[in-house]
Amino acid sequence: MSSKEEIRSSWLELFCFMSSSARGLVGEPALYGPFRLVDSLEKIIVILENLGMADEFMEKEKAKIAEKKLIAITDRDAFIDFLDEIVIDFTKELKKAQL
Amino acid sequence: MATILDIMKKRRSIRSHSSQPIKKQDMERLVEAAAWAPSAGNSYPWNIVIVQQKQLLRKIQAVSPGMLGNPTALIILCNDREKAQARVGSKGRELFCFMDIAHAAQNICLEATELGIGSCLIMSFNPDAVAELIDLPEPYTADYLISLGYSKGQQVSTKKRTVKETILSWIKEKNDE
Repeated sequence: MSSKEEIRSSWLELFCFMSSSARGLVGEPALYGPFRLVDSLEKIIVILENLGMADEFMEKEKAKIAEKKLIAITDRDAFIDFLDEIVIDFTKELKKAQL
Repeated sequence: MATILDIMKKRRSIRSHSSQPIKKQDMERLVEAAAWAPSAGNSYPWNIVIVQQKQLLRKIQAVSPGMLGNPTALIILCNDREKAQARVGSKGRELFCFMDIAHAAQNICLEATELGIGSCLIMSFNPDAVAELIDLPEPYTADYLISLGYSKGQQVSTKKRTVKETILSWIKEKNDE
């Protein structure tokens, strides 16, 4: 991703996804909310990756989300365990960060 | 030769596809399968929009949170509710037209399975946004999406209800087995 236009387009894509999700979630099952948020997280990391701003940790988390997110469809408890896991992953990384 | 029940059992929601575009003759088979679906009062108040253009697929995916994975094609089932109303009354407009596209969608997915095409039925999308992106003419509404692509990945779900779990009651003559 190089041009300003391409960068703008990929953010627009994400904004469309998040706003459509927000509208859809008004009438969708409660568990779809966390699922859409995690899906958004993956999409944000992909954008950062394309901008050359994602590090190894982010790429690892992206792969984990891509691999495990669909469990939301079949196993609620396993999906919640997965959410617990990524919260701690991100928190441990934040703990090391300088704010 | 696979029976229709074999095909039904093989069909799953597939979200991982090869990058190979769906061939024209395969796509036409899917449309033919849809055309043979039943319709209330033989009214057929729906038509199909097919999208196989990468840029547009990506834009539709952006407004369709339920459209996951990397499909190479999309079938959008669009109702003309005015036609449904004119042919089969208010129930046609409010209910039958949705049942009709569900029948058509099932036929598409079964035929897709036979052709080695993975399919996924999608209800989580913004119909107004999809209509805007595809320049859908009035009075059509985009009511059901089916993402498609030659199968690559594994299905997510393998569990299905048994016959026993499915039946609520079976009312029959006392002497019948």
